Amino acid sequence: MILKKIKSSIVTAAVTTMLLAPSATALAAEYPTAPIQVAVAYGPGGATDFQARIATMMAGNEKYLNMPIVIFNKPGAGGQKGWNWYASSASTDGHQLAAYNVPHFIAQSLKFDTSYNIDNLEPIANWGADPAVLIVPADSPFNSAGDLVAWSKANPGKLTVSGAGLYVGHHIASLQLDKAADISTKYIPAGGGVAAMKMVLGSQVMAGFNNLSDAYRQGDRIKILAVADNQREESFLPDVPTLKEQGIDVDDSSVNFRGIMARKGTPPEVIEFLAERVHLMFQDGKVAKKMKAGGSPMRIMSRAEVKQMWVERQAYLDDLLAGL
Amino acid sequence: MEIFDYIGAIFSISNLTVLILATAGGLILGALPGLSPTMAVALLIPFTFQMDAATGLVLLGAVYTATVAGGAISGILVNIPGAPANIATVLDGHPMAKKGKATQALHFCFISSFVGGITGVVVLIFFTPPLAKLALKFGPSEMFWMAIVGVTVIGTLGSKSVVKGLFSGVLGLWISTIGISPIFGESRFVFTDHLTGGVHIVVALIGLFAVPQIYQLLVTSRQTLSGGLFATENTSLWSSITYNLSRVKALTIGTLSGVIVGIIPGAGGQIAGLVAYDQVRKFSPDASKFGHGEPDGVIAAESANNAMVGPSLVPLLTLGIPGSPTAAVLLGGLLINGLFPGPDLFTVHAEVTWTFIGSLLLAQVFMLIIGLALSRTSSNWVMRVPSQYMAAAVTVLAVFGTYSIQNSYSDVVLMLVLGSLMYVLNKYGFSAAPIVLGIILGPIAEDNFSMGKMIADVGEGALPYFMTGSVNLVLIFVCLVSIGYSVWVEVKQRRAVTSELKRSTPGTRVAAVGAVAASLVVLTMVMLADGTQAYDFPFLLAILMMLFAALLLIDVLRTWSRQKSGPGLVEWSDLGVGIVVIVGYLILLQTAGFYSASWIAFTAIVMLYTVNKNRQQVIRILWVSVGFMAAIYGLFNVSLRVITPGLF
Repeated sequence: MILKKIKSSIVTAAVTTMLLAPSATALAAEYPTAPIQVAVAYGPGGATDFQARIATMMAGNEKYLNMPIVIFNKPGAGGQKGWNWYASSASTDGHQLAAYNVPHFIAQSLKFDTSYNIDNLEPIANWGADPAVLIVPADSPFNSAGDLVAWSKANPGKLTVSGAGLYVGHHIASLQLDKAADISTKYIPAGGGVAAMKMVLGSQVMAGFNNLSDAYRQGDRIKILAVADNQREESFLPDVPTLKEQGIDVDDSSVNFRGIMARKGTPPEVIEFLAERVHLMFQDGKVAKKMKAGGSPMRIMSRAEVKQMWVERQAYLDDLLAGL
Repeated sequence: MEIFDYIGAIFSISNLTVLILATAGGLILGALPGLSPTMAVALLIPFTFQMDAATGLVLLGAVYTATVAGGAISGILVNIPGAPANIATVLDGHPMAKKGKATQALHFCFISSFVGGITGVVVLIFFTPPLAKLALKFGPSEMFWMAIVGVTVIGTLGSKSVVKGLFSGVLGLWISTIGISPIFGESRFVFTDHLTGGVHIVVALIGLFAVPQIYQLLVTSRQTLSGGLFATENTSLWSSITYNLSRVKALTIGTLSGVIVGIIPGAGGQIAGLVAYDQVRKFSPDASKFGHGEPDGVIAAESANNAMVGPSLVPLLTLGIPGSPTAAVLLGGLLINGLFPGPDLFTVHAEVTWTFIGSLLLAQVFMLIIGLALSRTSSNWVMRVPSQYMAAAVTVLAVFGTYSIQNSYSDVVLMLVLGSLMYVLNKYGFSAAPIVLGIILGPIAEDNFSMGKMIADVGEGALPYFMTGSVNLVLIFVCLVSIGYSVWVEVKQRRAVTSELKRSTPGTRVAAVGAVAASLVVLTMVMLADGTQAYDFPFLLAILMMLFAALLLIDVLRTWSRQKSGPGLVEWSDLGVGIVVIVGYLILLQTAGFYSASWIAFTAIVMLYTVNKNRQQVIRILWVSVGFMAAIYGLFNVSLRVITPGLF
């Protein structure tokens, strides 16, 4: 611990000295000095882990970070475990970063006693956006979001809806649906997206919210009734209407944004460097090719854009979750 | 059969090279504590970015197969299962090694793995469509009963008595509830920061198995001058093969259990070996031989955990739903290459898919050959390592293995604390296997019960939801048979044992009082927490712990004798120095770097536990310690890219 502190103060001192010199190139020579770790708050094999590994695979290239990025997993409690660790114990010299999932971490920071919130984390850049989609088993009588809402109105509280966990995007989408359509559904928090999908495939629940990319891959084993976003997903599911198109006023607040963040206290020069290079790295053609092959929709956003998105989401979620 | 159209691709030079290297590497990685099959496959995913789809998948598949078998090597030789899947192998594998049959145990392990593995892949090839349908039938209620079937196995796993086994199992279930509840989001039993993240299953596995073994080795090195682990032996490979293949019943039970557990998504494959071990023991005419080096135990456990590999890919390849944690990582490997699970895999991507499945078959063959070739060498090698060196090496490996799971110092602390407690528990007749099984099954049972209850509450109600449906009824029947059988055996045993032997000893008294105290502590903690839904399951567990502790106490009182307390069971005088070194190691890990702290700890343990050192030996110890640390650095830092805190 002491050594770490000494080390980080040396880095801080070095960085401050460098502020005096015209920086970008001088800094690039100093940072990073070792491979950079990125903590993923979900287990190996999950969508976030899988995409994080692809999104960061070009880091070693000298155009980008000139050092490889090493992913490590700290799964548990819908991401709370990994992010709690990150916001309280990770190093602030820029060699330990983390992957974020919005709205998950913001909603959790509002509902639970977490050590993280949007104020003690620094966004770097966003690589992907996976909207939640409303799905039902292939043999379900529901053929549109309207059918589902009508049934739920006739049978209040009886409609079971699975999702990846508490206060993740799927849960938010389900809360929005309840509010917008004035129905009350029973949300079942499964232990992850795959488990939630399995419950729909096996007809153990009547419907579910799940990741667009995972639902798309299921083909005709399920029916996708609607996308919980402001516009249709043109590249993967051009024929599936949004909830809004079906008269249910649900916006893009549940869309699962994924990107990289740093801890507050990381030297501003390091953050600027990362914000520029990581943003470029996500735009690499090889990354895009692998993401496309894996059925993962990309949405690359700069640090400034992500910062604004975090604040907007927080304001909205504050409102939505207030009554719960 | 379609697979024959693609046989040429399987035998290409590049695939064969990858297969051989991956199998050999997987066997070695699997033998290291902490490097579970799941982690090994996850670490290799980035390497597949540079390969074509088929070769990448061949690599991942071969590593999956080989690491599952490799975890048995360290289990048999050092009593430390490489992964949760190998726990059952250890129960009889290590006693075999201690009896001088280490090579034979390893032979059985690889031959049985081969038989199970081949059967599993054949099931995958021929029965995928109907099995996928079956996999989908497992909803929350079925998963809950599946976990309960696992719980009923607990009592018979390697404990001195069924009641102690059940108590240990429930203790494990309770440990699994520590941390943030995934269903309710509530933080439970977190009385130190180290517990915020709960107890990771592999951390518990390393702690509960490796640490008691370290202490045992230290005691051995003090008490016997030679310091060897086990005696020499002479087994011919041919006799191993003929004996192994003659154990048709054990092989059949093992393989069948593995196949069935493998296709149930989420059951984890980790329990395949344990279920098989329990079954073969129940069907055996002489169950008392188990736990003392019965080859059938090794054969059933290893055939089961490799038979699980093929079927665990059935729901993965057809529905994108992995049957085991490792299969989940493999899904990433498929997606990166644009291979989406589903019918397309066998039509559009038939060549890649069949090459992958075919090479899984071939991987079994290589695993058999390389494994058998390594058997004698590795057992001879481990046999010649003096205990104090082995203790020091296991200590450092356990620390690095634990740290690398999720880069967490808290996990290292938890591992060493849990393990030290386990050493004491071992001495009083409680064993590690049921605790680990409890930790694995806890979340499966609790989460599925909670989800099932939520679904049932808005539908038909809990009773019909959990008690009807053909799969539920079959599982409930299996539970009842399993419990009934255990009770029957226990009653029969109690009658057979003469009253002389039944006199309670100071050891059993301490065990009973300790169990009562532990359950009171748990009950108090549950009562103090504000009784939300999140505490329903822990409350049930506390009551069960009380019940089993009370049974232990009644037994002691019934057989009370005035025996004076004898010598203590735990050899504190031999362990004192070792414990001081390990505590010092923990402190150094946080202040100095991981490598310097580990070097100091390694050297200190070997120095302090080498009796009658001369100058030459001291020099040798220093050389060995430097060489060992260089190997650790090469493995963890250079190959696996585990970044440790501190400078060096």
